Amino acid sequence: MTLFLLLISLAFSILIVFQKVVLINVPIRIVCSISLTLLLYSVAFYLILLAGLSFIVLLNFAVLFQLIYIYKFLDFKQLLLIKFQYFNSLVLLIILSTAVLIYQKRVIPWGAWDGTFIWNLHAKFLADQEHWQQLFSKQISWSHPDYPLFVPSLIAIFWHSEGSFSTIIPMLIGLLPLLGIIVILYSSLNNTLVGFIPCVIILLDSVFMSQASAQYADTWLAFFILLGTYLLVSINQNKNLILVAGIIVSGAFWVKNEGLFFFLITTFLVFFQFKSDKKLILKYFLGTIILVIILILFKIKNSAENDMLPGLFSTFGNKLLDSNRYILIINFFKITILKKFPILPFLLLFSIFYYPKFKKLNIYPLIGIVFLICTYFFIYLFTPKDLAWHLETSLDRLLHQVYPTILMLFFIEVDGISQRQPDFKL
Amino acid sequence: MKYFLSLILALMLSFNFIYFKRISEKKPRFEKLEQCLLPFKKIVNPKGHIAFNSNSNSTENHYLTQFILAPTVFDNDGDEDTILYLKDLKFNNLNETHYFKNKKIIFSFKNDGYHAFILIKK
Repeated sequence: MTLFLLLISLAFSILIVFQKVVLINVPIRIVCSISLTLLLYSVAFYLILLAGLSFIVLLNFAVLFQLIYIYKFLDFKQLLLIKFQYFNSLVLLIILSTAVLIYQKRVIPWGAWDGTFIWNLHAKFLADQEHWQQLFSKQISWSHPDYPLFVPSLIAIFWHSEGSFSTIIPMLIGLLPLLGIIVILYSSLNNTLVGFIPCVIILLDSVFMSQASAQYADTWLAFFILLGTYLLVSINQNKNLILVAGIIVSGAFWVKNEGLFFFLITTFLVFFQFKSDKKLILKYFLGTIILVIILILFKIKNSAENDMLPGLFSTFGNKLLDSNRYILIINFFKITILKKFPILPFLLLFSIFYYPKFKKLNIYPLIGIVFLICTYFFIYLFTPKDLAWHLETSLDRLLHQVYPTILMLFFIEVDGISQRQPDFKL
Repeated sequence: MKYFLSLILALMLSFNFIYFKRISEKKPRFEKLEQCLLPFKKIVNPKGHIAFNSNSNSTENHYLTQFILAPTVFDNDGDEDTILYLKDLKFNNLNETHYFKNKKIIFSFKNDGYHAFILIKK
């Protein structure tokens, strides 16, 4: 019954948010509404745990308020007028079905190592309202209790409502970012063929699909980076999107610690890009404020010490001047890109060749991605962990986080050329 | 077209849900350990301090036990009054008696892969 109530409440929230987020692109509007709702529920669940309130009682109240809101304010006529492009929707459905089939073939109950021992383990603690704070015990510091709670809290909400630890919940939650990435990649481009190509690249990429089926939070972070970047790229169409962009960009650090770098770099670039429009910057700031407060609360109240921070800048000078470290990092980047992301060098070559024809509208997001990769480079340089081990266990996941965004930014430029030159062929 | 798309979407969702249900019912990768440890869920007190010892020296066993019995926290190789001792039946351990010395067995469960005990200091 509680699970049914939760599903009703989620559906109502998605409907309400959908009406508020005015995006011309309907599929991305749906994706945006779902992600904002999930962020809201994740944060609300954490606050409920912190306050020691009853989730089930509050869920009943939420459904009641949502019903009143929908009855009073929701304009169903306006919602029914929304038009879908039927051919595009059918193609998208086929692509999404293929993605689900590939995911189902690869996914395993409880997920791979980090899925089991970090994300699902944290969710098991959060699902128990009485003992959830034990997640931050020193005895299980190997499970990285400092990691943000977006994915675990989502799983825990469903487990808590269902009253059991069903493996289907983390599997379904792990599927959502993959579907979201495909919807954004396909729908962000005007030309159906150009939109089809990045989706096929993703689906045929066994490395990407394995990672996406592992129930890790990296695909969620890749999704937030992609959606945040898309919203910022679309600001020229609708300036009100900046508020939503602020929420999504700040949502990245509620998913994984690396999301904090994305947030800081993007915020810096937003300030720089729109420095003449103070209203726009203020709206962006308003969008980020809730999650910034939640993150500060989490870090002060609960989060254990990060395993990297204490030793990050020890022997700073030695590491900075150690040429062997630079060579090792560059070699790892080279090998990982060539082995696991072979499409990236091809995109780079294509971009150099077609550079004069690009509209270069997306220069700021691209600078953001380059800054992000440079930040990761310097973290590796100063890491207190064994450098080779650290690179081997994390570099592919860091590139996985930015890979869909690179694809989108590249194909938006290709899409721009195809719009201006109808005879343009790939 | 609108109804056709809705029908396809509904069929797709139902098919996928049934398929996911089937995958989720697959045997877990650590089935035997899970079978052996789940009865302990009712015995262990999540607020108590419990040490975890194993005869196979496998860190993975500690991680898995922590995962299966969460939210109880286990201190690996700790020296608490209550101990969960896990015997991996694939391994022989000559020092096994050391774990039982001065301790009382209050609960145990066994299957063909593992034998787990809750021990408390006498």
